[in-house]
Amino acid sequence: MDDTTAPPIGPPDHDNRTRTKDKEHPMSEDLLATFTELLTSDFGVPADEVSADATFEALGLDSLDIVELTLALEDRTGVKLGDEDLEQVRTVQDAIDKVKERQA
Amino acid sequence: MTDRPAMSRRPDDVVITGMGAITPAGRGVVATWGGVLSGVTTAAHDERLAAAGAPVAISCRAPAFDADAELGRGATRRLDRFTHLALLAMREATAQAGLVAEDPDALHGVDVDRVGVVIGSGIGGGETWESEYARLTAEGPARVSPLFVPRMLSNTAAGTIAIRTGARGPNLTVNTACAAGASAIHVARDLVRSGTADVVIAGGVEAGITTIAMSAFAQMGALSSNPDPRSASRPFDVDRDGFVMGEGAGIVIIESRAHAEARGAEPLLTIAGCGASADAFHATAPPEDGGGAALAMERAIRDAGIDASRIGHHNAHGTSTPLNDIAETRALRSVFGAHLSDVVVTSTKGVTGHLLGAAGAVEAILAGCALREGLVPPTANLTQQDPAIELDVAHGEPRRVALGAVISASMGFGGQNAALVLTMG
Repeated sequence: MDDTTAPPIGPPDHDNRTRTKDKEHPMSEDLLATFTELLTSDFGVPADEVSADATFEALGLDSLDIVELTLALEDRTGVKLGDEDLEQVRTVQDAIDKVKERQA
Repeated sequence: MTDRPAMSRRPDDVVITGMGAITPAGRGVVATWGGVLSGVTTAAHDERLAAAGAPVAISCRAPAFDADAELGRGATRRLDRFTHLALLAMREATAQAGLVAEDPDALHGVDVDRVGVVIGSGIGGGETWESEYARLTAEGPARVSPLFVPRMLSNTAAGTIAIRTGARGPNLTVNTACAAGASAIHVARDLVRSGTADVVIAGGVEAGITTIAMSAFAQMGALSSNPDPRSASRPFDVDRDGFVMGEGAGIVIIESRAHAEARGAEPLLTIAGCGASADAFHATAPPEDGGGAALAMERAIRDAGIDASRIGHHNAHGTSTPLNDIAETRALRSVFGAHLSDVVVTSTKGVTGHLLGAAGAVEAILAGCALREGLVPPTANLTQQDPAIELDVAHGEPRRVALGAVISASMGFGGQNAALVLTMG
């Protein structure tokens, strides 16, 4: 196969992405609102089910959903949670704490 | 018609007890059958393809539905459209077969460990491939969704049907491209006949109306370039110039007559014979004599144990491409010989477009409807039949014909052919 015809693959360099994201980093008081908004808009979770101590499992998210959630979260906050972060994340508050650690 | 000995009902006959469909001609088997009988094409200008710059912006789309509302929270995000279509058709089929109670998915009144699933699909999650590849090229590998794999895999439709229904029997995905829906019914029939499964949920599904697929099929010269959607899909017509891309699903419930009767289900149709073959010829073109397709049809008729003269209707593959329709005509001549003039032929693709991997299953269902009602749908847009197509093709109005047995044939790229012979249930 002629590899010159292969479409370009975007660089993994996170500074050179075409998508838009918020410039500001919402702080803790905003993060619960950010999670609530993401979980309701992207994942269809009823807003009244989302609370800081709700587990993602109880909200109906499995491990693949949580990776999807981190992609959406990165769009909003610029923070990318990695596999090692996610290992310890059970509740929405766990995820908020990890985002805050990364922002610090 | 009266039954002859070869068509007598036996407890080990493999029968269809439920049917479901979602096609461009309608939501459900009744709506699809009505749409096909009307002879009015569903091909239309496709805004999404036009906006994406596709070289052909005509398609046959299935009726709109809200996947999250019908199939549950997260269905849109977690499942590709082809799996949505399969689930919607599956629910209709299991409901008709009396296999569900309050829950629209969970099977009821059968041993779920002996319920199999066999689904045909040519492409699988084509929309997912396209959207995630766009994300890869635009945003990089760290942005690709982890759901890409389960959404895209062509076995996800069959796997999801098992997850939803609880069916823990053999779970297979068959890909013979545009013959996949018919091949799946053949494999399912064999699972029942061999005693491997009591019941099999079987059929075909496709949701491949993507920019890349339209581009590639156009490059092959397989798609109609007729600018008028109303006359683009015109099987057997002298002016046919390619197929119109469609999407949809057809699912049937297959079990032995004895099993159906023991649980009080009505056999709607008997799968009297199945045949399969390969052209061993070319990646995309049929041999001029349609020899591979003829072999599949001959094998299905022999498997049914009936004489070819019993078959009064052929639901054609009839894609509306110049090559297919001629090769299929020659195949039919070889199979039916002097009896060919007694076979009323139709191609429902004039109405539905080409449903690719779903076509064989949807067309088996439509051939079954024709058999049950003694009515052959007209081939849409057949205004001047190609003189080389020496077939009795129904056109204009539905044709009333007393039918004892019908055949449906499907030919896939790769030269893979499948044929099904159906008799009454």
